[in-house]
Amino acid sequence: MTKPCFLVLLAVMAMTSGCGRIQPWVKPYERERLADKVMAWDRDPIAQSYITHVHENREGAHGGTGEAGGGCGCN
Amino acid sequence: MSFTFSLRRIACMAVAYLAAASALADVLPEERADLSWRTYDGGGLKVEGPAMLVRKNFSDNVSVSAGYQVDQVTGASIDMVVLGASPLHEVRKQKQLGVDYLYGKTTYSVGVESSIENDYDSSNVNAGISQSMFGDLTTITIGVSRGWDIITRVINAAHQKDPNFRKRLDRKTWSLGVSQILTRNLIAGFDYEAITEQGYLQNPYRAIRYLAAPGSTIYLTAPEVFPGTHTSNAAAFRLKYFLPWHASVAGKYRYSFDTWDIRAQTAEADYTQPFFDEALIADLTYRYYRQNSASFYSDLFQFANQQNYMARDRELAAQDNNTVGAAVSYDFLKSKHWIVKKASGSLHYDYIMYKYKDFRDATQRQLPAGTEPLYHYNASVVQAFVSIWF
Repeated sequence: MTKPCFLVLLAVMAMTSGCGRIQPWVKPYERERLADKVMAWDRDPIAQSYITHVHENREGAHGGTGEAGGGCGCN
Repeated sequence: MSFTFSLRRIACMAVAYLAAASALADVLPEERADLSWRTYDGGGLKVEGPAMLVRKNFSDNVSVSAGYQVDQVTGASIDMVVLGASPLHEVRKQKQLGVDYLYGKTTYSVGVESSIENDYDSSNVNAGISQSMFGDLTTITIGVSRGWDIITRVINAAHQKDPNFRKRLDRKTWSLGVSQILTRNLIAGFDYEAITEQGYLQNPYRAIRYLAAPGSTIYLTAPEVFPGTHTSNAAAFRLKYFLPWHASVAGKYRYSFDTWDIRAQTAEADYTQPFFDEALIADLTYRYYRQNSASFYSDLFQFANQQNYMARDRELAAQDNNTVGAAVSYDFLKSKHWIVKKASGSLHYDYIMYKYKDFRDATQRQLPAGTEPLYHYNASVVQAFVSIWF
């Protein structure tokens, strides 16, 4: 086995062996700010869904927004 | 006193934990109803109508959401003006239903959606699974969906359809999302989505234009010809940071590419500031989008049948657009009345400036074909809605 392969294997083993022992570095009681309304990704789904629909019907790029498709209304 | 303090502290910790966990999908979403009216006005078209979205939880494990919206479309876009088509008076109705089932730290979701216009029917089913892990620091979501569209064509102002025109479009979507708490102030997200479509991918009302003869200054029109397949990929990365003065700032970048050689980039920045103990929340948004043109797009072909596939859809043209948005949301009810825990009113306004780099304003027929000014227009999007939590 070549040295780079051995090092990669060692790194993979080291990373996977630690998977079972990952401890949350931000404790539940430290997440008060993350729980604040201003930190919500999608505070108003009905508004976010519509503006995404507006953009996607007038642009060539689609996806990556988490919004479902359906219809056009865009002649 | 120490007992009271302890209870309060535990309660605060519990609320913070549950709220944070809800963002990471191991508790059900809030029970909520939204009633909205929205308008889009730009490029000669006006789209307006109501929308409703309701979410109700049953037990601690099942959440059901239902939505209904109506878009009334009036006016004439530049493509319709060029082709001399009658102004639109169309209605699009969309219905959706979704069910989420929470089991431990896993949420299973299924949904159906239907959109009906007089010349375009779309049906979609979707399923997803979301798993919270590593002490709820990480949530991974995997989703699939399948869509079936039926496209028909209206041939006159009386909305009669062409009996010989009925096309199908099938769509499959795969998505992967990762949400990750990085620090007590910073959260990150990654989204990837692949979409494959097969069938009739063009708009039956659009046309290409080509020179009437070599060296001519006038143009003729002909039907577009699109490929029968399309696959697109989009990857997005986002960050949101809690600012020390109780506000947040977010950034998002998306890159997408497809088999029609469209490469697009989107960058977005958001700032959120609460006032009056979060009774009023204001948002400012800026979004930038750019794309190059599809490989078979041309504003003006040199002659008819110049190539196998030919398109002049402005959605496939090289373009960029800028969006500036502002939103305010005010909680006019903060304590429980009857079954309503809280109620708010919101107003969103977005102003979009579209600029095309190789799509010309073909309505200016007094100018030689190919020398018309590049097309651009601005659009306003207004959304006003009331939300209640129960």
